[in-house]
Amino acid sequence: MTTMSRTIVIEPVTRVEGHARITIHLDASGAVDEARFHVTEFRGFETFCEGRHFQEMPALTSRICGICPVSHMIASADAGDRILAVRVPETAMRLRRIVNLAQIVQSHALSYFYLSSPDLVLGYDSDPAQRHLLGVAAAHPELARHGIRLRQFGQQVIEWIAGKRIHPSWAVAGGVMTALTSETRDRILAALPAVRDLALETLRGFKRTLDQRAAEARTFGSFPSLFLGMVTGDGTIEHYGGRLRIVDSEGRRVADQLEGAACKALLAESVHPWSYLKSPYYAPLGPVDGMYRVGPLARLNVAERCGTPLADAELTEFRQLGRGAVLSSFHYHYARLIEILYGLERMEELLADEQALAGDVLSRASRNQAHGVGVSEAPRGTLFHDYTVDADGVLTHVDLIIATGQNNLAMNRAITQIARQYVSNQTLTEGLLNRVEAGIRAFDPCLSCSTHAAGTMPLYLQLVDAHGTVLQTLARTSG
Amino acid sequence: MTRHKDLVIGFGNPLRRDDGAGAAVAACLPTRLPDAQVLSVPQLVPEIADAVARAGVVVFVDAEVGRTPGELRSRRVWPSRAQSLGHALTPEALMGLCQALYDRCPPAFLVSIGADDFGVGPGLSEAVSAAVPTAVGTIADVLSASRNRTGRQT
Repeated sequence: MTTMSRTIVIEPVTRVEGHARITIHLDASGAVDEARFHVTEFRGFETFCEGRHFQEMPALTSRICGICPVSHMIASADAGDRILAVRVPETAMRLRRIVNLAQIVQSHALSYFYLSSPDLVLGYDSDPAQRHLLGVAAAHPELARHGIRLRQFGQQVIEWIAGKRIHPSWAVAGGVMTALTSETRDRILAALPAVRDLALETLRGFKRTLDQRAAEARTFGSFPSLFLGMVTGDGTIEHYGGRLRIVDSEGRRVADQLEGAACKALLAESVHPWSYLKSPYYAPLGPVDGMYRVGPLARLNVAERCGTPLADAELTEFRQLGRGAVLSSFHYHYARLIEILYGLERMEELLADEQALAGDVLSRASRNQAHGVGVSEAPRGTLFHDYTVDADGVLTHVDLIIATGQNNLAMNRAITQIARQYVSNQTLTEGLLNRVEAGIRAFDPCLSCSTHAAGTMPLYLQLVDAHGTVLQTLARTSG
Repeated sequence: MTRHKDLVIGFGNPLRRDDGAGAAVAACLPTRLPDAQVLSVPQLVPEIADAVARAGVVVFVDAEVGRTPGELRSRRVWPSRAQSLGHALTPEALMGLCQALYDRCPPAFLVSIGADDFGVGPGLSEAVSAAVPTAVGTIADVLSASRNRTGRQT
């Protein structure tokens, strides 16, 4: 008997990050009925991490994303803290906060300067061949220099404290691996005033842009929704180690001071056959009214204050954009810039305290609980790591609820609204394509939790009539 | 008069076999070229532009697919603004960005090593590994020649 070998070939192996498709569905009259954002890739971390030991998870999950590895590392360590059932040393909590804020700064700088500023300063209808960071650098070199410096600073702080700019494995269950030296602290403190000035200058420039785009900013992905984000016990904005709050579009509290596990228990997930991205919602209100947004806009909407002087002054001005919560998704950009400023101010406060230099940064224990839910505020929003372990600490279940997924319903709502506003006569223009893209870009999605093709997000846009016939397709590759 | 340090940037992913050639070369350079600044990075990103702008001469080191494994080539890199921006920059785009941002663009070169094993895992193929010492010598030669041509004192 002979046996034939068989080879299964997957060809082509398409890109593994940043692949998305938008379809716009028209009704019988040719008007836009719905737009859908399809994420066509799959990572599978939840499954292949099962069987690993929970203490490996901060290093493993930091590999999920090249932009926000710190948030995964910290949420994972936070889940591990709960499985150990230890009290993490205050200095370790402080250092985790600082590194997470450094990541917020660098990631927000990437989003605003590298990905969105081409639309905002060059225009949606500008030449797509120039509509990227290189084009911004040519037309507005100072703006591009600010963005590069802010991103560089955030990355440098991560490297100085956590050892690596990307994929550090420094936070662990129980604390962090290394303490902060006074030399590193002093280097960061010395650099902070200059980058804070850049953040302020960028905010001033953005507000001038906002004056020119007031109508668009009011309507661009503007709709009522819930907002979820982290706050301290007194309602100040927080990015790690706080409790979670949900507010409605009027700014009224729907839930408050929730631990990660309690908050996660209030969330349910719907699944769409056309996307790998699940759609979480606030379960008590169902998938329609329970749609919520996370990320910088949500964090500013749930918090009562930033607690730092310059950011609080900006927050007061920002609040005037809404009655209750600020609803336009366009203002994710604005919120992002305020958070950069806040992050730099708050880093300085956290570093200035001598507690930052204490040597006790790790509590040691073995598995004491079977279950732990860790939370951090990633740049794009609230991030949950939910682990269940067996008696040896081996993971039997992993559930990751990532910010981009939590914004999925809202992103679909935003592009539907934008498409309804701009699509007419069953035609698409490049300018429309870019406006729809910009609706997604405002949320700064991380499709494989690491999707960032500056200026030219790979996108596949279809116009479909009521019978399902594809009328027009526009494809854009990542350049 | 400020003397700008030369900058050598080895780039590539050391966990994809021969793609780590740039990093392997960069690791050898501090002893051979103690006066140069050496960076080893997974990919070229805009944040490198200011280090490039402050350099005397810049040499990029990379693995290059489609050539005989271990074969060395060097060429001049000219700034370009025509390229789109994907997940990472090309040496040309990085030099173009440097020019646009800082109005300075030092002479730049690419030293590439032919490679064909980009599988998952650390370690270079035999041919590429054997080429690393030669690449170090080539970089020294490129820097020396450029220094002699330009004077490089600014």
